[in-house]
Amino acid sequence: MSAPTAVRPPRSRSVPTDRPSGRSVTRGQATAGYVLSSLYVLLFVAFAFLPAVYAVYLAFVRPGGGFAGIGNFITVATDFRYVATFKNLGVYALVFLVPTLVISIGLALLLHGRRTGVASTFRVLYYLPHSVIGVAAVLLWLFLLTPRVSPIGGLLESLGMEQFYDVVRPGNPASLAVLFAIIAVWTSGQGILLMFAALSSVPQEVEEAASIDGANAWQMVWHIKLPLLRKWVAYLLITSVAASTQLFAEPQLMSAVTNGAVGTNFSPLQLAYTFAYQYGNFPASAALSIQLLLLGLGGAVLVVKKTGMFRVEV
Amino acid sequence: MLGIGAALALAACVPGQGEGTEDPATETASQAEGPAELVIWTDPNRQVGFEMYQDENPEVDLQIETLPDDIESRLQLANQAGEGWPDMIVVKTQQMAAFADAPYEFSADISPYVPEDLLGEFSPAILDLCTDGDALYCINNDLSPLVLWYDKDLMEEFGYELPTTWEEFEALGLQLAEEHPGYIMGHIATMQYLPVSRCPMAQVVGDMSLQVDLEDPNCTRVFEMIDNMLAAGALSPMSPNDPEFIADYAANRHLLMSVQPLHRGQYGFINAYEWPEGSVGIAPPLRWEDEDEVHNYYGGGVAYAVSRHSEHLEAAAELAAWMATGPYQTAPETPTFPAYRPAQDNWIENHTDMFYVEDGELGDVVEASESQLSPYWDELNVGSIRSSYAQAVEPGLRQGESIFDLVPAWQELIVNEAQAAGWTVEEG
Amino acid sequence: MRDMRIDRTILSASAARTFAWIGLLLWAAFAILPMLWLVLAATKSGAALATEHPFAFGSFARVGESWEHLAEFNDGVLYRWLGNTVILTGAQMVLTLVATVPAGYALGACTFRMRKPILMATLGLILLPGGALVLPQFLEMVALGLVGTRWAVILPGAVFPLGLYLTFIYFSSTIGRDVYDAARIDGCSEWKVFLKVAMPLAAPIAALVTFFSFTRNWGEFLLPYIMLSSDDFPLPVGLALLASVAPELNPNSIVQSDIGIPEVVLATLLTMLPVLLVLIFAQRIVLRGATIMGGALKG
Repeated sequence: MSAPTAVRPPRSRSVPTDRPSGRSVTRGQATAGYVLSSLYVLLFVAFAFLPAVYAVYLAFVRPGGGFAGIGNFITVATDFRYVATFKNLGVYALVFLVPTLVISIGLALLLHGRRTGVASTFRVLYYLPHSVIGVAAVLLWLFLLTPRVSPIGGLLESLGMEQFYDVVRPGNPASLAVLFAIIAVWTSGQGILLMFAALSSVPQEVEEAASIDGANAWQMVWHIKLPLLRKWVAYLLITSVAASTQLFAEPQLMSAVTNGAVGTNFSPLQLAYTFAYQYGNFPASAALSIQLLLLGLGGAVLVVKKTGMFRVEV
Repeated sequence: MLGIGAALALAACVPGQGEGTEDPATETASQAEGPAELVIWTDPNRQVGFEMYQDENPEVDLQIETLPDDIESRLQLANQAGEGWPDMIVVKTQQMAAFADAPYEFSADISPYVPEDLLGEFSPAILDLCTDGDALYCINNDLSPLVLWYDKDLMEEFGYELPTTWEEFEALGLQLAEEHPGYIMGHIATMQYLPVSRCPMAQVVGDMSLQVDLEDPNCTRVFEMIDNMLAAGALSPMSPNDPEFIADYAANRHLLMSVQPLHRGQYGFINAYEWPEGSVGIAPPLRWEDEDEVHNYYGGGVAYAVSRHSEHLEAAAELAAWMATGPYQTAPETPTFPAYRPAQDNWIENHTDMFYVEDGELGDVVEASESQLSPYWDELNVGSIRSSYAQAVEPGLRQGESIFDLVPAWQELIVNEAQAAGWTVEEG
Repeated sequence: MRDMRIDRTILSASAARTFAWIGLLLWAAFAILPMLWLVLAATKSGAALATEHPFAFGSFARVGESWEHLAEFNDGVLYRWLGNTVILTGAQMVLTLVATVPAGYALGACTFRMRKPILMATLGLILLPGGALVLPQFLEMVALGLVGTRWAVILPGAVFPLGLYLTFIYFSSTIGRDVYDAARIDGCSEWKVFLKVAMPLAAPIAALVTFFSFTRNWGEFLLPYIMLSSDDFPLPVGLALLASVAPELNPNSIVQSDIGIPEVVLATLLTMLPVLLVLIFAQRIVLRGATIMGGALKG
């Protein structure tokens, strides 16, 4: 059984490269390029890029003014909550990323090939939680994990959890991270949608060729469909890594509704918020945000390297 | 291109260059002539009061901004920008000190604009939250002193007597647990027991300096009481708003009594617990046996603070005084218990039929609870010390641990939080 | 022997089918039951939420009551929030589209020096926590005199790096440079190529970008809260305001109002409704866009 490896998906039809195909054409193209992208570039530079540059600059000045070197980075790194917030983030990211990937890919594979009506119904169902915004998602899970009022209360109680506090076990903050990860996975219907779309683009001929060659369902998934998903997985991973470093709203709301039993500094971004708005120390806050950016960038570079995501496009 | 140019210019700014942070002293802005335009940041509850003022005073132009809980972020951004402050804000008790000092440096001293005799009508302990020496940084709208709420019917059925001291409270709790298991004497989820015992949990002892000593006898006597009552099952480790608490104890009338703030009578016992009017008993706050006085504490409240950046200080201060003492305080729309004494009668009248008083009038109980508020206890807003108890102690208590085992970690958390916010801390 | 193998294949195939269905249905339950709870919660009083069965239905009267409380809250500010949200989101969507689609085409179809830097900076921005930009954006809007105007939210909200990236992939890979080059060789000017060749093909990606831009702008909280006066607040900030009034959600709140968990839940459902409707009616279009993108990313 070696057939599937013989069936290679066709490469992208064309690859944009920077090869010039004539002087005048290039100049015309350049003009068009600049003009057509000008509005985006203007908005992007003015309202995203320059503010970002300013945020980086801010991270290196003293709160009262003057160059601070890495002083602000030391300030945040020596804060007594610093290590804990990053630990929380690590657990959260792990528990969020792995299931998101597995479930998105798994369900998309299961859905792929079903009748159109069935597939589209399930897709809408899976996407629904994505529309639950803000306080509602936290409220919802607060109730769902309060054994007395929860639909799965029996299950929770049989596991020895009689109150919401047993469920989140604040003595062991890792489990709160798990809770936030569950909320995140629950609302991540977009991943399934993306994966399904990616699978739908597998040319019919490839599948037919493979099945004529005797590939069974598992082989089809393993040798044909999964490799085709590689770039989408990379894309999903990068956006998910970015999203996970920005954990903020859920713990903040959870803290409010539990009257502080869930502390206000669970995630690094919350700590950055505390520095800025509780202590008025915006430079320290910027320093912490920069670290989160670097973390996200590091994750993205790793993903890109491992998958060769941008080898073609850029 | 304008956008880019301006943004480039701003990139050259130094943070903290705004006027607000340049002179942390209480210097105020230069005053403007003519009719006042005032920008107000309020919570939804107080909005109606400002609208009343606008109706009565059309010559003043009020711009009322109704905001969610977190006004700190908007204030800090205004401080950074050096503009965009409101003329007046509604502040919570725990913010009053912080907004006058670093890091907000917002509130103005309005004592020149508020008549002395008006201030004489406030309980000194309440006013203390707004004053620093002779300076007046806010005027209190309301405050909710702790009282002892109880189930009148249940007390009659069980034939118990109301406690007047904490020792009697504990003894009754132990007796209740033995005679009527499943019935409780309230919860431990808020800090109502420590302040009234004057436990130096985070006591301001100087400029940006705190004393934290949870091994003080004033703390340990409370811990012992809590441990004993918890072990017997006479207190619940849950919070009085928890669905479980309501289902297990409150809604089914298994809550014999509970130390809670004054406003909880209507909004907790009658509205949330759905007890019938007249069954909700109210009694004065408790004292410790070896002490002559009650050192009462409170469960929240707000005040009005005027911005030191305002160009209409006098008009804003007048508005603040009107909100705290004017007809708004007796209007039917006003749900809170007024800090201003002359307006309290109206509140008492409105609530007389709601609550049962065993001995005397509702007014007596209210007066006892309000006049015995202790100025000893400084309300704090150092980091999240206020929630440190909920974070470090409550979960353990819910797991059945002894509070003594949880205190060291709690003290450490308080000290860490305070130091991170720039306080120096003396322990012990 | 041969027959047995076929039997086993058939058996395992039907077992696989069963497992597939179980998996699909389980996840559907996981996705839907909490939503169902949310809808039912709007039919119950705060006390009933704590005491009745989680999936018990309250009453329509209770929904009506909650609706009255909501509609009466601060003189019907709910309608104003709704209007504000529509204005903000609409303006952001239009501006996003007008800025993003031509730029995506330019980056995908034209060769010019800033192409790569623009793409790289765009990708980097996706990873920066939005909170880090709040202070710089605020200072900038103060300098521009835009604080308190809707522009302070619309302009930053119209920058959609992810949308640009998707549009770029679409025009560079899905459509492909050959198409533009062919038109160029036929003597089309760059503008003709853009208007007559690329734009007629842009519908799927425009739909996709519009949809993503809608879902992200509709729920936006922080920037509107920081930049706008309360008369201009959109629904998500309004939800936070409601939550800060409801004593169950804000245990420190000293005041009880008519707003409780059922009201907050109802307001939340109202806020979600447009997203749901758009999703259900637009999902075919979105999926078509996403499928075409899938073709671009393969391999």
